[in-house]
Amino acid sequence: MSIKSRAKFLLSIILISAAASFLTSCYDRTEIDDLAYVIAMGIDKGKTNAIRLTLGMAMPTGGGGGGGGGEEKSEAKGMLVTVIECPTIYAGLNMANSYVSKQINTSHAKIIVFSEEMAKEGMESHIHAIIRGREFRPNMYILISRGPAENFIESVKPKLTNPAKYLEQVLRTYTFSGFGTNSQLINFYLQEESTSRQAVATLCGVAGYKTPSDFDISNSTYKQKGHPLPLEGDYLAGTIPKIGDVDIEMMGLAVFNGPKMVGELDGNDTSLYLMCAGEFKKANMTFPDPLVKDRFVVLDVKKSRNTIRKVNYNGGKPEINVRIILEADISSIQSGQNYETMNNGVLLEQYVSSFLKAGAERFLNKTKAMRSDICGFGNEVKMQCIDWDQWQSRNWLNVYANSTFKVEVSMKIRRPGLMIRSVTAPSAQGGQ
Amino acid sequence: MDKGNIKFGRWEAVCLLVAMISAKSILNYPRFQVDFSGPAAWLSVVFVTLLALGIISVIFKLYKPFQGKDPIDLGEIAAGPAGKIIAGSVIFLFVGVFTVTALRDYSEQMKVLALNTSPITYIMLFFTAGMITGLLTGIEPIVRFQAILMPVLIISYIIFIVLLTPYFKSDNLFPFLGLGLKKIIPVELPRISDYTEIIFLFLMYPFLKKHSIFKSAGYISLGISFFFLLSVTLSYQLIVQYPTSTEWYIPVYQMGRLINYGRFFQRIESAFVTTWTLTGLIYTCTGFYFMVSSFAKTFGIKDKKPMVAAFAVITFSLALVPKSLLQNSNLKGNFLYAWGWTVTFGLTILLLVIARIRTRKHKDRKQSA
Repeated sequence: MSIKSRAKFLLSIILISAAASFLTSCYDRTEIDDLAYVIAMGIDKGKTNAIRLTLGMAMPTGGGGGGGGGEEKSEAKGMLVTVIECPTIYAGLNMANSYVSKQINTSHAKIIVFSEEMAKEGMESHIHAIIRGREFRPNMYILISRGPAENFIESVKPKLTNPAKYLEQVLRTYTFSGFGTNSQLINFYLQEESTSRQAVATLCGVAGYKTPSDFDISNSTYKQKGHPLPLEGDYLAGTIPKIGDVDIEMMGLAVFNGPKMVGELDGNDTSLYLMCAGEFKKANMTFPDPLVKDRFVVLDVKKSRNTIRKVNYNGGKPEINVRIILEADISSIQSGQNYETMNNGVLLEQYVSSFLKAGAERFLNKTKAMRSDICGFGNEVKMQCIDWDQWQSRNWLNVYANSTFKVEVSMKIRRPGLMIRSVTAPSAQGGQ
Repeated sequence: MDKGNIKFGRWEAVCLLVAMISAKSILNYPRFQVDFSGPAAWLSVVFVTLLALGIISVIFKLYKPFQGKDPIDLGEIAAGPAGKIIAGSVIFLFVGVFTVTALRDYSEQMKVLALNTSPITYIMLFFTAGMITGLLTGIEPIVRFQAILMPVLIISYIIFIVLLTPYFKSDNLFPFLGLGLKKIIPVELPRISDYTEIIFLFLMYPFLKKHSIFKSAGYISLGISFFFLLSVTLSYQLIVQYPTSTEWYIPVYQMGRLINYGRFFQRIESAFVTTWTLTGLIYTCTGFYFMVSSFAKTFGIKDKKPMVAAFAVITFSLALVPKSLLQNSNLKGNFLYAWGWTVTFGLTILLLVIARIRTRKHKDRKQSA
């Protein structure tokens, strides 16, 4: 081997050794066990400082299993909760780092809960701080708590699964319940800053009852809508008559005008919001029976076509036309009326359509009173403008309050479920 | 110089140019476009590309008699040795600014994206090592590497865009004319500098030899780069409405963070960090190679190797001059991508016109003699 080849060989060895030491990231490595993962973060108004920050951190697994695929214990799996008063979110995280032995990491945070009080004061500065941060994910959810966010986070104690998985799953149930929305941080942030649509966030709360004897429907919204009894969506989070092992509730929406919360929608209005905004997927919905008083018909309602929305700006007095196209399968007919027949089927379709139409118009007028275009009708107006100056001159967010609404609901019952007709059970007193 | 012995084909030239022109799409290009044109940013990309296409067609026509000549050779033909030195120095400085700002930019982006606890000099060191290696091994390995890498980058880019489609909202593209033609056109005309990296095609001409390859490589790379620049701008606009779209710092990375399919398929932006690193490496390597080559050619230095260490230290040090990442970005936005056209298109056309006049006069004189 010549001297030159030997030098080359030596140089290669040095380079490989250097690469092995410098490129393995051993210098600033962080072990998973050295980090404390925040799963839920709550922001309330502070008593001694600007905010009260609640951090719900993942409990370390008790040896062995810790991770995916292992058998999950059936006991309540809460979070390690710490509450701190601080001037900003990052200051709070920093302060918490001084007494939590592991380095706090928010890259696995699933929810950020703002109390109603904070939301009414405005969330813009906090949302910007979160968006700017590299650790926070844009897919985490923004929730508005009816009551202190601290209480809500302390109440997240799922029994069947770990809190992270529970939160991720429960926040996706709106796709088949219709009682919430996709209030991921990215959606909320984009809507909050939009000039043509305003923001909403899912409402959450802590269960209001301890025993069935405490149940009270005076907090239900059914009377305002003229329903004989509360239907499943006539509640806001925290007022659902329920007890049991799950202490938290998520139902309804917080409505925003810019960065400030201006109102609430219950579960039923939330379904109508999803329909008007074109985001409804499916839900089981209960309707009063059109032929028999105090009886109900339950339909499995699905979106059939995209919602058609047309807006005529009309010199600052917008006329908004919405056509909601749905289809449904029959889930239950309490009265035993044969709505499976052609004539009765059409009757039911017409009744449900007019029921939903009245509901949607009531809901839209509610948003008008809140001066908040949460359905994004402004986008239709924006599409009619030639340039940005023309769009700005239309001053949509202010003009929305002058809108008039015309809603049309087209509902077709496609399938009767697994029964083709309803036969009433005979009784001893004779006959049907 | 390698130019006497090395020759490469159309595909290699296209890959190099596409990598150089489209690299900006993964940095802050979409945001710059939105800043200037609002919701009509994508239309501006089309407008600027058509403008660039027109100018490049003119350059190709003027270039026809000067087969295998780069702008430094053109300077010599146009104004003798003095012309060579002037043209060479301008190109050296221009490519140098590109390389220096790119070195800082890519290193800073890496710090933001992945290596946030590492010192900036430590990250820059790796890019500098790549630049030195690239220069020592020559242009051939650089273009061959790009030719291998380009299909991988194109496929991963297309997958990336497809995964983002659930977030697209067409109403974000309205009002159709964005900030208005009166505001957009005066600002967008100099944005032809978005294609300023086409100068590397002119510098590559001695390696391509044939005019037909030179011309087709130019058009194909312009087309592919247009696809990249348009699709990234459109995707950004379809996801983030104006004026929120003026807020995001690294749009492509931030869009990547949105990709989320169920509980399993998420956080895939980490996979793209490799793409970012490789793109940065290619960009700085090519820039550094042509920077040193231009200097060597201008001053008649035959062996580039002794200059490598000196230029590496100078580039490394100059890259640290901007006080912050924002200052570096402003330098790029307000200088390179605002005035870059004067060198890439202005200087080249000027040299070509003078060189043609001189050649014709020379021919006429010969004929009359």
